[in-house]
Amino acid sequence: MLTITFLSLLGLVLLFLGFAGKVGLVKNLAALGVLASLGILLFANQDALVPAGMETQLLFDANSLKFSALILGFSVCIVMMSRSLVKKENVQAAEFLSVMIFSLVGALMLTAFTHMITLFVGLEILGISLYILAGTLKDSPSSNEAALKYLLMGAFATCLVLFGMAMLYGATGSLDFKEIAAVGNQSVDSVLFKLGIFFLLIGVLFKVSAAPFHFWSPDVYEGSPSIVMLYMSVVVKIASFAALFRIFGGYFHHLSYFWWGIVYYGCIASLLVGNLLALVQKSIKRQLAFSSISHTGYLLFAILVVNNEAIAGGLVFYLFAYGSALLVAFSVMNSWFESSENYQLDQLKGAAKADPVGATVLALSFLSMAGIPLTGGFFAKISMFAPAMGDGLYHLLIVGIVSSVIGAAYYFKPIMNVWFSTEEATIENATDMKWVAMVGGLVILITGLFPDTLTSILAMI
Amino acid sequence: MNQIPEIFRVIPVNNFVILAVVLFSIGILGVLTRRNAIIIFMSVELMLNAVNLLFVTFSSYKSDPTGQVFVFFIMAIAAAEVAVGLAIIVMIYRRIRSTDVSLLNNLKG
Repeated sequence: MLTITFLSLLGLVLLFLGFAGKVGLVKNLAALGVLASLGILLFANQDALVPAGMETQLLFDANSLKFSALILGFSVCIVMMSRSLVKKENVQAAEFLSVMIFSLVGALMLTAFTHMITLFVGLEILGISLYILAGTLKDSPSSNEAALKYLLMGAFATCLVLFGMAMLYGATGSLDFKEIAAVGNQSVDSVLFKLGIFFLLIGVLFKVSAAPFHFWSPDVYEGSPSIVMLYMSVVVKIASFAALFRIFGGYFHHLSYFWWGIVYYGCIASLLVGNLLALVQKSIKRQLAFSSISHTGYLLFAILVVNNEAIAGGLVFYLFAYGSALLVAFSVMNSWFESSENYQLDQLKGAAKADPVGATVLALSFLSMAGIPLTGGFFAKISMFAPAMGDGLYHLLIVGIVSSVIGAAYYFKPIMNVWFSTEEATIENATDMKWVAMVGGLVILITGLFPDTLTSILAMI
Repeated sequence: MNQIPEIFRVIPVNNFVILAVVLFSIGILGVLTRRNAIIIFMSVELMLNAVNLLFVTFSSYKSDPTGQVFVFFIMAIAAAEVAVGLAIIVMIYRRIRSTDVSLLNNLKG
């Protein structure tokens, strides 16, 4: 709660500093402020300063602290990387950064809600801020288009979530997830209850862009500025999975009779659609958008397994490995294509000659996303597959392993272009923010060689 | 407490639910079939209002005020969404002089 209050105030302060014209101060304060909020999250008592009546609305338990720490940790890096975007013409630094910080408020609420009102408000704070962020580049037709598509699809998904909530409210007479789950045991035959769970699940699957509800995400990801795309595929993915896991891995876990089948087929569809369509893309952003759909599939394993207490750690590990790999890939590509928002695979050709260090780190991050041993992504995949093996979900495992192999094929394309092309480099190679890539590359290696370090750090939170 | 209000003896609760479901379905159809951004947006608003109706119905049927409080949240947030949404639509209208979403085809794979 303290973190949420702090972030809201920080966003307001930045907005007013922007009005006063102190842009340089805004950029530094934004990164420092998010870092400070991470400190508050980890070291302050979250129950302090909770307004009366809010105790039943938000509850920071061990899982939500982990997810929130991941969200804020990645956000610090993304806020620092967004310098290259906010120095462009027509982008208001203060507005961009404060809207991003407001959206973090929504993301944190999604990790800690206990009540439908907080879930809805969190979803919408995150969603509405993202519609604005996706349209940041007012002069770019694709950014405009991404904003409109995201708005229409996001609002539609919100309506589905709300309709499900209304049905559940009608069936149980309560908006508190714990009470609904308790009543749910007795009202197994209620049509309202079934419909409620169905619509809630479909709406949330829309938000995490699981197939077959994924069709908006490649367009939105490709059209948005690359920093915003990074933010969507890392921070927003963590937040929406935290929400999905909290509802269906937590409160409604014992009601799996209602939702297990939908998640199961959604998981298989996401794995296949994401990996197969990523094979034929020419744009890196679009390829990563489809790869993000396939990672949604791997992450859905965590919702499907029976022992969900144990897999929470695996889910956090996976999100960390995926997020750090994407962060590294984008920080390298951001320095290579500083003036362009349109990343094509062909543009990477010969990049290793111009910037061998960046090319190494980029290759490492793609290997980690593919799940090759000695990188963090390998253990992340193991942490999803092993519990599914324990539950005897062999068909799902076979689909998962086959699609990882397909995945390796398209993750190798950019690596091949960077390292084994005879053409001359066309990249710009700015030195800005190289250290994020270096540190990130090191993190990928450390999590790959000694996964226990990360696990024990996460256990301390 | 928990006494069913008078109105539901005159008009059964099912009628309210059916009305809400019909409104919601019209909204879904509108979103899926219309190509004008403003009309899609109106359909989304129709869906939100169907949900509001459903919440108010259940709230008075169960004599529980929480549902009505939720409706205020939905209305406030829908207003914020409209503000942002119309701004985005205006931004696009200025560029292409149309609100037809099928004209937006910069992005495809």
